[in-house]
Amino acid sequence: MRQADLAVGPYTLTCALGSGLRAVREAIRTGRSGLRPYTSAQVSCYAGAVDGLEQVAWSGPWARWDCRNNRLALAALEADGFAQAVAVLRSRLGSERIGCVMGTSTSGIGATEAAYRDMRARGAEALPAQFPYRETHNIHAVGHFVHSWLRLKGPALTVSTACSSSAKVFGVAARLIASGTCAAVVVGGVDSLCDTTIHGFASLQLLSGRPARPFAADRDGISVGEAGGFAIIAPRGLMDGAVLGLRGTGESSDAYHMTAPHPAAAGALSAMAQALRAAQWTVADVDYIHLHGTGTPLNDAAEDLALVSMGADKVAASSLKGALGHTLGAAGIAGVVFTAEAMAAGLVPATTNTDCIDPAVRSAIAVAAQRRPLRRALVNAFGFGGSNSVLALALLP
Amino acid sequence: MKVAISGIGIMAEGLPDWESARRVLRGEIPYEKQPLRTACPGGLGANEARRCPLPARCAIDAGLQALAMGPYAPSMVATVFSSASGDLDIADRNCRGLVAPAPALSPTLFHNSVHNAPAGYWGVATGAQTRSISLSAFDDSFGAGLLEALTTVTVAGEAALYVAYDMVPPPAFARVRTVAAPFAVALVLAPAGTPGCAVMEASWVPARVPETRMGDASLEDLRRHNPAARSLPLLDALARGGRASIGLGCGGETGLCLTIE
Repeated sequence: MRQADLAVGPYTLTCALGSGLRAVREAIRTGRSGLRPYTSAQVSCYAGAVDGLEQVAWSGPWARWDCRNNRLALAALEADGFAQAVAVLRSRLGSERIGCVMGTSTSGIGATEAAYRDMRARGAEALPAQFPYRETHNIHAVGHFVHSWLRLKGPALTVSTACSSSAKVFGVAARLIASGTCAAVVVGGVDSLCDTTIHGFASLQLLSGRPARPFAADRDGISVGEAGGFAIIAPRGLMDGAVLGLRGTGESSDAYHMTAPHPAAAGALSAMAQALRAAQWTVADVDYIHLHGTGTPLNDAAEDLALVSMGADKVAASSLKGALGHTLGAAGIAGVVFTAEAMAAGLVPATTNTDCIDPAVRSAIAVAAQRRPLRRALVNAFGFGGSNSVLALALLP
Repeated sequence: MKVAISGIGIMAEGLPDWESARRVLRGEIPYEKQPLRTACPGGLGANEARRCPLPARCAIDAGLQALAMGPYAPSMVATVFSSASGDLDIADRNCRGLVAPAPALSPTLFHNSVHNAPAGYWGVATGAQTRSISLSAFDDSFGAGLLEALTTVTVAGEAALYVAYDMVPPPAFARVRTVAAPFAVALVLAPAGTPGCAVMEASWVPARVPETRMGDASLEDLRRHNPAARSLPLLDALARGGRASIGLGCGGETGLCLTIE
């Protein structure tokens, strides 16, 4: 979709690498990985966990909202002064003019997993009446929480299209602004570690026993990570000092399989082509592609095929899934924040953990960081159910 | 935001298709609950048909009904799916598996647990590679999804299929989440000026609007106890024809005011 002149304003990310943009910048410079050994009910793997989430228990009016996913959301909102930036915008535009569109795949289902363990221990058959389903497990719990915490009064909804969720939110925001419904939208994504995803990916044999190595010859699956990230989207005229523009979005469906990518990468290709068309760019205009690059043999091969098919195999590209893990519903916003910081630094980030590219991969995957001007970039995010989303970002002149 | 409505589909107990629902809503036949009749959608292979869960079957059924009323093939429409709670039956089965002495999860149950599973099955069943979004706004999911469908049509100028569904949670959730009966509804929205069965004008307002209720007590009960059935006053207006105004919750302290002509 062609965007009006939209800017990506203040943004932030909290992930396994640390809290806020300082950790992101350091990781882009050094290629550091935040993946560590992780054990979840008999599954041993590596995961990108965020430190410190166990140490805070919520009380008072927010007690019912207490779960790992909302704790992660709050930690991310407090990083880089993001919540304060929203407060400033609120006083300028009015809270009813600002929407809130979040992405997640599992929201706070970890709370229900814990409640089921408790049910089992007590021999109970049902969740107790006081279990806060709405505020924790429900898909919209995170959107509702962020909307309430930031005291916004515009539209609030939560997108859940698996691993493309927090890339899709940018398209929703652009439509809310273009339709005149909102003056600005807080977008973001929050997904936290839980047994459902660790065991689920293990059951599909998509979980690596080692840290994920996207596009490596010996890649054998993902490492799950958790992250929370946010950005403000608004017309450029409302965003003094913004350095990044949202030039276009591309979305498609594979219509092929619930988990495996389309063998000809038709969906990925179509979403990337749409984003280029919307931005009025050709492949030659693109300086960097932030790959979805999960680290499974099939996903990476399909994404490589998409780049080759559109003639983008000479464009510098990398995946950060070896640095922070696959953050699922937060992968889109994590990709945007990493890409924004890479563009600001003029540095193509390395594909962390990958030393030796699969000889079958033809795209220009960066193994080491490369210094060069990055003015225009694509960010890919693809998910289960064949859900594809691609964003076109540009440094503002 | 002004759009044409060019198709309607429904799947609920005693309301198995739009024609039956239309007659019930017009008061021509009484509303009687009947067991849900969902066929497995054509277009799925044998394995996928076996794996396709109830919410996806209801959503696909309603969506295909709505498209069949108008000129659009599945490959011509963007899709928007909304559900307050998704598939709690699968969440229940996954959580039971995870807390068992030897924790295990079925790969099928895991991929069916994503909120966009109905959208994924829709793509596989119809071959439609168009863009698709799946969302929730808890009990205001119908209004929030309608807003997304409206902006898709009015901003991008594309026709959109909007499907909302919610199912009855399993017994383990009985004390924490009430959805009294299953309900799926589908609307095809097209750019204003396109021929259709009605014209709808919608405006979003930053305040709770009085929700339009159903005159019939049992239909009002259904409306109150299934977030997708919040669509009933809109369906009622479409069944009766003529001009009508409808208020809907739309997430947070916000609402949608709809006018049907």
